[in-house]
Amino acid sequence: MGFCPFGAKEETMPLSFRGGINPDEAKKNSRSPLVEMLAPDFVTLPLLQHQGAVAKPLVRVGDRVLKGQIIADGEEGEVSAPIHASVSGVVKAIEPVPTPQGDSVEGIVIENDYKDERSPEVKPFSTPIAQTEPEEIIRFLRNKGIVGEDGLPTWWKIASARGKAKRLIVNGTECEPYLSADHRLLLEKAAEVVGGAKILMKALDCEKAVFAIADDKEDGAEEILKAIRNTPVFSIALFRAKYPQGDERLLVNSLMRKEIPAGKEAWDVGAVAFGVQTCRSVYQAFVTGMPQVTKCLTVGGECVKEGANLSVPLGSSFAQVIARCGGVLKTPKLLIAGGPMRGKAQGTDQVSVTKTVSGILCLDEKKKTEGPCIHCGRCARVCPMGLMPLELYRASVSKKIAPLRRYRADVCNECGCCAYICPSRIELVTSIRRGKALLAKEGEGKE
Amino acid sequence: MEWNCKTAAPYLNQEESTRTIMMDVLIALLPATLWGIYAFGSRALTIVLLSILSSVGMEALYQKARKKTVTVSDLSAVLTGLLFALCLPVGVPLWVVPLGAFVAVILTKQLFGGMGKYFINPVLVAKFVLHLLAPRYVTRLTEPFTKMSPFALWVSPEALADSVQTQSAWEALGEGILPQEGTLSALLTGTVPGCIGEVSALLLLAGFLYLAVRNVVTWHIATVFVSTFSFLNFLFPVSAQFRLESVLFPLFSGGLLLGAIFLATDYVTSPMTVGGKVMYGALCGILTFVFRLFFSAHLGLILAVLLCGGVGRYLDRLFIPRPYGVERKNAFLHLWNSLLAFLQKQGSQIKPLLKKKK
Repeated sequence: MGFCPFGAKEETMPLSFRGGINPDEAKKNSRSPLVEMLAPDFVTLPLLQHQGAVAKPLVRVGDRVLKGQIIADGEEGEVSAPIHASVSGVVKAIEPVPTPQGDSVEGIVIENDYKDERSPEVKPFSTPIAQTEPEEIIRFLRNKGIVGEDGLPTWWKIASARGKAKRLIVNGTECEPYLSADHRLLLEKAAEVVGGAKILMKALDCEKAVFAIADDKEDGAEEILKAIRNTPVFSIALFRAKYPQGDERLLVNSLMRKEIPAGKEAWDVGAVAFGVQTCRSVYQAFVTGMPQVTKCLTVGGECVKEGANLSVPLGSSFAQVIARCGGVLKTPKLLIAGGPMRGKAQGTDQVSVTKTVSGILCLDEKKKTEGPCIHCGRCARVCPMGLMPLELYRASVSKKIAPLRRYRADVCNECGCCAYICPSRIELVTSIRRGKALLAKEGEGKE
Repeated sequence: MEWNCKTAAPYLNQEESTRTIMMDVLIALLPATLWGIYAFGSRALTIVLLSILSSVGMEALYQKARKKTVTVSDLSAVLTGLLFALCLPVGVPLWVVPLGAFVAVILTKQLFGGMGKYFINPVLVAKFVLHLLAPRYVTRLTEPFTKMSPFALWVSPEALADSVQTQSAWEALGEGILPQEGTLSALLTGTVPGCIGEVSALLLLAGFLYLAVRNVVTWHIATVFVSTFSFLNFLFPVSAQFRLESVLFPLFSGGLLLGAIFLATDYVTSPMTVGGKVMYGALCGILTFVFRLFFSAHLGLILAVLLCGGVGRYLDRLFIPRPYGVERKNAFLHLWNSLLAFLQKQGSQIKPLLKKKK
């Protein structure tokens, strides 16, 4: 294989974990190069694009804003991330808008004046990284509003992991079907990704960095290899392409043979993972000063005319992005934000692209009838967490607490492998989620 | 555009469904069925078709009458019908067939909640009930290629007199009757007396290979069942003089292969963990051996697998896999380690099976 100049041993690669699935049906669109989408007439920016507190608007209706200008921010001390204008124009409205997560939060609507005028706030980082204190990097990243695909503000993740994480993992596994934006970034912007990783390493004060890449992206790994030549602290680890390898718990398990106990985070076992896009956004923020105002995502599904990997201005609606891809061949039954395994079906295509939307899928749902559980055991064979989903399903349906506790419903990471493999098409994730809620309520009742 | 987005992730499903799984089992049974029809004549075809039609018809009628969704398209009733037919000798009166279908599909399966909710194997219950109600009819095994009327409701014993045998090859061995030339190959190809589907060992094994390749059943249950059973027959041969035959004859006659490959591996009554499957297979093998000492070949097998099926699902509890992030041994290893700890106190130097996690 030849991809491990330093670090993990060649004979143990590709790394993997127990269980997991390999959906063949959803072919990835890795051939389409990353294309920048032009900003549309209107952008609608929800003020909550991360896990944490909602940002408060800093502008009013009628104000003229410039591209990259900060328009909303959370309070000092809150886990929050600022929102920046992705176009220059006039603030048309500040009103409740739908989010891809299904909530309704305050959002700022900006009418694009097509002047693409940059804000004077957009300034590159002045000092070389080697001479910078980690706190300054963290503060700079906070001001640039960078949020990871898991919804955690990057500055907060670095601040929490500092001192505990000895190893930085750049998550290039992109295990969800259909999604290929990360793959394109590895192929086209490998140097920027590596640059971002270097900045993150400095901020985290950690010793090693590993680029975790799935073996269906070996060409991406080659590009990274070229970019990391002569840097002994970097290495590449190749993983078997399997869903859900990108889940942090499994990444840490496959790479370091450690397990993150329930309730703890990755940095409690000495590692922290950041996505490929986050690294690139960090690099861009430092080199150009531009905050996070775009999102690289994949548009796919059988109903879309031309699937593509796009760099979309934040706040564009799903409808506009789909129109950019030639529109739909026929009305999709499902419009999904994210991947088909963990994404969320949307109720309207007027919802905006936010910092956590990794894909827009227009799927034609096949008719599936749910049958009874035939006790075949396939779900238990694929569960990456080592659980027995059919027992959890039975316990959930009969609302019994004892089996939920015995079969550890709390360990479930809702990856969906069980529901994918079930021949009776049972909605296992939904029932297990209900079971988890029951268990949590029972736990609260006791305290 | 607007949607009603009630569904939740994941939005992908793999191709396999309950129907395709049942279809695979039917395909695996096809060679043995076709041979049964060829060997035992058109009466066998009548029995097979009657059984399938009765099972499907009864299930559909019951579900319609109880205002439930009719689920016959998942092919499980077809499979029950076919398996039941294959367990019958060709000389049975035809009224036995719908009766058995009724016991299997209605009494054992539908009354307890339908697919997935029964607690013992329906086909085995039907066969067992018939052994109780009409023992002579279900133990009259006839030679293959005997002419018999395909539609006669009842075949008189006189008409079959020359070709009836109620003993299988190894029972004869146990009584000191020497094995004849070619008995083994006859057992393998299927020219010995027996029930419709159980005579040809090779075709049944071919079916097993198909199921294993298609990943419908894992190899554990059938293999451990057969190995344990054969091992016990090796240790306690029915005839000390003919050791090889004592191991092979019980294996290839009396419905053992049909039972081990197709009846014991029923999803609903068998465990799903690997440890559970191994234990279940061993239990089946041991019980079949023991029961066959007291009952006839068929009844012994039926009772053994029936009882094991009753506890099959509970065996999984001993082998619950270790969840991610949880430091726990499963019950079996826990017992083993406790035993070792006890022995260690008595002064022996055995190392525990599980080392402490770093």
